[in-house]
Amino acid sequence: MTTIVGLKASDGAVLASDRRASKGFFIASKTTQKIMKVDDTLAVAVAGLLSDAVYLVNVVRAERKLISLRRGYPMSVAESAKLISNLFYSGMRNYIPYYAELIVAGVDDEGAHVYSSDMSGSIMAESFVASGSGSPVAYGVLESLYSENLTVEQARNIAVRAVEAAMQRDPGSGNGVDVLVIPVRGG
Amino acid sequence: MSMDPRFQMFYGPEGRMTLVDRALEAVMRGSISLGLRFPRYALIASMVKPTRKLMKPSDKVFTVDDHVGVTGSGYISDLYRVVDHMRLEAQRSRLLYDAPIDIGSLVDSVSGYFHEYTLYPVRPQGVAIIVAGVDKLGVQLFQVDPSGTAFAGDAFAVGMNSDKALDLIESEYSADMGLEDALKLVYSVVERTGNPEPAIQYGYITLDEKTFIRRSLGGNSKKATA
Repeated sequence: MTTIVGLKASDGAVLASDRRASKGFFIASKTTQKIMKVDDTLAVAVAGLLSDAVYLVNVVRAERKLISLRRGYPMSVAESAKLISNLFYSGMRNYIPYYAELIVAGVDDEGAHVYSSDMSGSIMAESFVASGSGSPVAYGVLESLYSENLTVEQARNIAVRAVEAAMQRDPGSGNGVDVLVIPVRGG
Repeated sequence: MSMDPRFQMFYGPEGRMTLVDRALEAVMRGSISLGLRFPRYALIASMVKPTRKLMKPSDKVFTVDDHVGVTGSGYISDLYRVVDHMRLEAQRSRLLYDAPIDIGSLVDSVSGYFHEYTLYPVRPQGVAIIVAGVDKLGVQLFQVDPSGTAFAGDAFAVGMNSDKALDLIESEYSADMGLEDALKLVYSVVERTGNPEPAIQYGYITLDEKTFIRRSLGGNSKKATA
């Protein structure tokens, strides 16, 4: 279930999600937070098992803090994405996969980045990405509206429209849209 | 008053770590190694002891990863183990984070390795190392002792006559030196610390290239080593 999208803009990264949590044909919650802040420069959007995602976010938050204290400069988005992919991969290889798909978005010295990751451990850098049961509908909107070098404001509008469209046709998604904008520092 | 002999193994009557002090003595018997740091590059070098005509001298300068090099003085076999530890740690970072390790973390790790051997009734590492590398924080130079203590700085010397070598470097070092002048300084310091016409191995890394390069100078090893 769920619709989540992530977009890369020239001056930041954008995540958007719906708010519905499903238990089969029952709407378990209408106010679910599917976008989680890791820290000031990194966040993830979650499709799948929320508890697994929360655990991963906690691990990544601790690791990012620890690494930046130890070496004196922060972890890049790419390093963080690779860490998440390693956690996913070891879960899969041990027959206890983390049942989630994460869109990882953040900013660092190199600018804004969006990665898609899943329980197999694959990790891909994307310009825009959608995940969850509503993703085919969201992708229709993203494919027709996304272009390179958007501003975060433009990307934010497209992200909201993609999730709204998915909520119209996907029974697993609904109850409103959450958006998170991560601007590049000084942007 | 007699001291518990188990305790005496580690600390002498003055409270110094006896085994570590002896390890430092072993380092002082080794042929000299030097390290210099400048704003845009770092240079490390080590004297290669002359061997018999038909014998290939041991390497003294090592590539740890693309962006890190290390040299050292003392027992060469201990140095090999230390270098291997550093190489493993560097690759661990690449596997975990898909990123080259920062020099500070690498040095923390290897000083932990040294420190382990000061905690138990075993032989501490009989080697001191000098690490040069480039990371996001810039050009980095460190020294690590058998005690596990790490120092950051612009100039280091370990091994035989290293105190005298440091005196010479301190009076002749300037931050705006080019690589060629720095190499001349290093070579003449090795020469002036009791090693006429020495053979040295050296390595350098620049902020622009970010790749550690190994070379040889003097002796009968005029050829460059990759």
